[in-house]
Amino acid sequence: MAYGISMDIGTSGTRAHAVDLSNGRIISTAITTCHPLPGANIMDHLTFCIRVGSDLAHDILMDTVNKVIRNLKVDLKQVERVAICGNPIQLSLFQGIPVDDLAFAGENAHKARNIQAQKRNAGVFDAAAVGMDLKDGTELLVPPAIRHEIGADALAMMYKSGFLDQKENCMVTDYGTNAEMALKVGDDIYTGSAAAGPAMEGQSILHGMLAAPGAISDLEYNFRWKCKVLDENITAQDGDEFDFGLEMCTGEGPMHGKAKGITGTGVVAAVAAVMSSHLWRKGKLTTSDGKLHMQDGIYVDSKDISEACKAIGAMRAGHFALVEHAGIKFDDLDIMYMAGASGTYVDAAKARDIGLLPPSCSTIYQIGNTSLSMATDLLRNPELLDELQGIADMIRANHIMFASDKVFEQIYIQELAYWDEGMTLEMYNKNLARDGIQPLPKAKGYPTVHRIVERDIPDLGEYGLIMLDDIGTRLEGSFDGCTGCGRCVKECPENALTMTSKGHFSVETKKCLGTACYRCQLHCPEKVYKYDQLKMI
Amino acid sequence: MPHFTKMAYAKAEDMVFGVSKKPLSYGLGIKVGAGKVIPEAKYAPRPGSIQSEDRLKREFVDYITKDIIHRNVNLGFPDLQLETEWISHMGTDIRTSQEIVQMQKEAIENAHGRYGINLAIRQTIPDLREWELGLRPGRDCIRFHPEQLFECAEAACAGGADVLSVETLGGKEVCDRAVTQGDIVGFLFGMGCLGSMDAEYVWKEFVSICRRHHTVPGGDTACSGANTVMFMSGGFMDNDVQKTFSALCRCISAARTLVPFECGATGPGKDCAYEGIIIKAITGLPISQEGKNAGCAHFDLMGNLMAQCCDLWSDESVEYHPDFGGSSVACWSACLGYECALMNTASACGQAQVLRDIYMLSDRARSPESYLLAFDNAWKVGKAIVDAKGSYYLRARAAAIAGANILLDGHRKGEIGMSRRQLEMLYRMIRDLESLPDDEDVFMESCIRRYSSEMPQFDPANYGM
Repeated sequence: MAYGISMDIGTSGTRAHAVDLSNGRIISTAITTCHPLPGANIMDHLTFCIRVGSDLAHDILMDTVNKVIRNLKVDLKQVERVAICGNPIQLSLFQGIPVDDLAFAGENAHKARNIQAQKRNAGVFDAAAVGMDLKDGTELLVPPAIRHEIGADALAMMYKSGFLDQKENCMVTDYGTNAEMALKVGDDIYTGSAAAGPAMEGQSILHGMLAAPGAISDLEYNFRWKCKVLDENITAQDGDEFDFGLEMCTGEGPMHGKAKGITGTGVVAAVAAVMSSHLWRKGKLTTSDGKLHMQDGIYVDSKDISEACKAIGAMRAGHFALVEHAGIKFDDLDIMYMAGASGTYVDAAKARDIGLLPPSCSTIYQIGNTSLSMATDLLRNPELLDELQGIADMIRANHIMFASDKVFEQIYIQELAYWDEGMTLEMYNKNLARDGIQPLPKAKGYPTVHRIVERDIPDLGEYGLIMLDDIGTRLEGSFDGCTGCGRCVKECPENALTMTSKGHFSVETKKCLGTACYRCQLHCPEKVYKYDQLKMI
Repeated sequence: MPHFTKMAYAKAEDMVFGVSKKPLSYGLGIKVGAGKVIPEAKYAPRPGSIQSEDRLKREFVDYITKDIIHRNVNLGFPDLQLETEWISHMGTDIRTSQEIVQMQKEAIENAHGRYGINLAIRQTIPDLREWELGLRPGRDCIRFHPEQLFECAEAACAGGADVLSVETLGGKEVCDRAVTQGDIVGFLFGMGCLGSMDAEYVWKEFVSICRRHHTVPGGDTACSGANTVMFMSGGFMDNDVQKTFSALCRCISAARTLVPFECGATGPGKDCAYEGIIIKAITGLPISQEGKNAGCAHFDLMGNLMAQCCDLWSDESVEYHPDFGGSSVACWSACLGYECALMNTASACGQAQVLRDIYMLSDRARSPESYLLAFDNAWKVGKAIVDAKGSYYLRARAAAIAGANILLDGHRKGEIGMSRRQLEMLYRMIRDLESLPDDEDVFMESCIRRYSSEMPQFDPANYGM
């Protein structure tokens, strides 16, 4: 029997299917619950590559990829073909392509560093050659990027959603740690990518967890807020009911006593509840202890809400910037496609209310994980590769590099002030008006929501879903002059660092916040700890 | 529909102002029934302001809303609820009305952000339906008032109402005639049965609209019937409608005003018909009440007593105009704020029950109505409603009979004085009520037959019959 493997490499996890190539049937699905590289977002991953080295990053990622495929419950010797999808950075890390051109924005930055833009066209490669534990000659199908910075994942969300065939103005966003977004106005497509961070996926949240039994996945409004808790079948059931303004539980539900944490969609619902109850003021929850208590001791605090609000702000600023660059008004944009796990499971109306969607969108499609879906299509039909390249070549895309875009910058500054400093929407709009940017309207009415798929990965195959938590590797090293004081270990906020013997350290990469943190190095009293000198074991 | 079958308060003594069994939070930091009494300011634009959209908007937003808020901020009152009772014009010009709602919401959001004052706004939409044309959607093909009623609710909620209320008119065609003829059976049929059926029809939809917009469904009040009869019964110099009649009308109205809460309304209830105390005793939901500070629009003999167990303390339809102390709405709202400060200080000092009793005793013997609405007697009326456990008819009748017996008992004990005419009316009402059948179908059939023949404007089809 010949098998194929389709794979989506995301910023906060990898998902893969094993597929029977004789009939295209999905056999099994494996996913990881986080990314193996240190750091929580794409910028951390890039910085790690630049500072520590792309080769090491590639090795760490491939270690995880091989763990994933080993768990797919198929004989890897019988794998004939692999198809992959992901954002340009993850695909580059996977293929071992330099990422300098993605790390530095703008022509001047490229010239100054003598950086050559990489071609990320569709191609057929050798999976074993890139480091997959598969037999030599196994085909690796890599879909094209639209441009060097608009990756295959963006193409996937456009291709799989029906966005490209839509005659009306429309927008699509793959809601993830790195939110890919595209706006179509006539034949022109405007794209961008906002590093939103992992809060929307329940990560970097104190009681955050992935969708699993015991996770609070939503808060349902019925004049009070009722927790929806996932049961053993990952189905949301009624939990306890709360009046957050009064800080009291107003009734117990069947899932009372069973909550263990909160998912990203639960965090979105918590933000919606906080905003609806007007409990957020100047970057703080106004409840008596600064926490929003849900059932069974699970709560979100001001820091959690702030993290989520920053992600919302980044996405809203991204959408807003695309609308501005396209030269349309919000009222001209009605249709939204939401891709990715978060985009599929989140309550779309709540998401729109808090700013995750443009406020004018009243027709919303929730379309699932398009990246894995397109990779699986490719696996079943390799000729699709040429078609995708044709589509990619045809798309007249204008990519807005948010990192260097003045419009995005101006809007994002307002977003930060709005969420964290208590600036009113009125002032937000006044400030934008000074730069000739249109006002952000309030959401009106109710959107019509079309949930196209029940789950982000609709078909898990006969073996179902395998979740891998045991991923990532360790970076180790010793430093001359280390006194073994242990200050670095104490300072690590994620408990990722251990001192195995005096002066010898080990870092668990999947826990480490990476270059966004560096507290270990910064707090070394002898200034001898050098993160960049750690090596993979 | 879940009928209340148990009293929220096990005993009347447990009720006090500012605290309810089922407190609410909404708006911009408002917590009702959670320990503090909150002022609720109501207002009306000047006659003529409807001449142009802009003038009406200015009147409601720039003059009324901002004046009231600024006065409350200036006086250091921490909480304020506004209530816009839509004038009838607004019930047909819904687009302008929604804009006013939005502008008021923006004004309170800005004030909350700037001054930190906790604020909320209740929007009370008008019920313009006419019996002759039809009360339900599809029946009035001339003015489309039934459709407009629901459009108004949608517009108010979409515009940003924190609380939605209405004063439905169901049964008023029968009640009006019953009041003028001293016909307690007619009032029972009109308010207790038809009013309840209409309230159920309207509020099932309203609750659904509110849920979609995250608006609190505040509830209803039998203003058009019970307030009217209270106003007509007047004071000691008035004798057109007997006060014993008016008192029993209040009991019957309480049974009807319970219906929205059975449809999912959460309060805080409205207050115009003064039946709120009975509602609070049954449901445990917070109530808004008005009395002495509503003197510009009301006339009653229980100005202090009504404050006894309120959660929001309200004035009524204060028409905007300049006074020596500022605009009328600002001045009247200041009176509310100070009264609330008095109550809240009493609570903080552990003297809430003492002040409650003083409020109550100062008016308890002033009229049969005030005697019935004293919290201990109101609780007993509520208990009769709950114990009736049956149809709208049976529980409204039980409330009226319980009210009559409380009055008779109080008179015998010398706690409440009554004139000969008041007593005669009371005895007549007891006789009429006790002679009614226990079978609801028999009662309804006889009333439909009687009032259909006597009143051309009464059409059972308006009530789904």
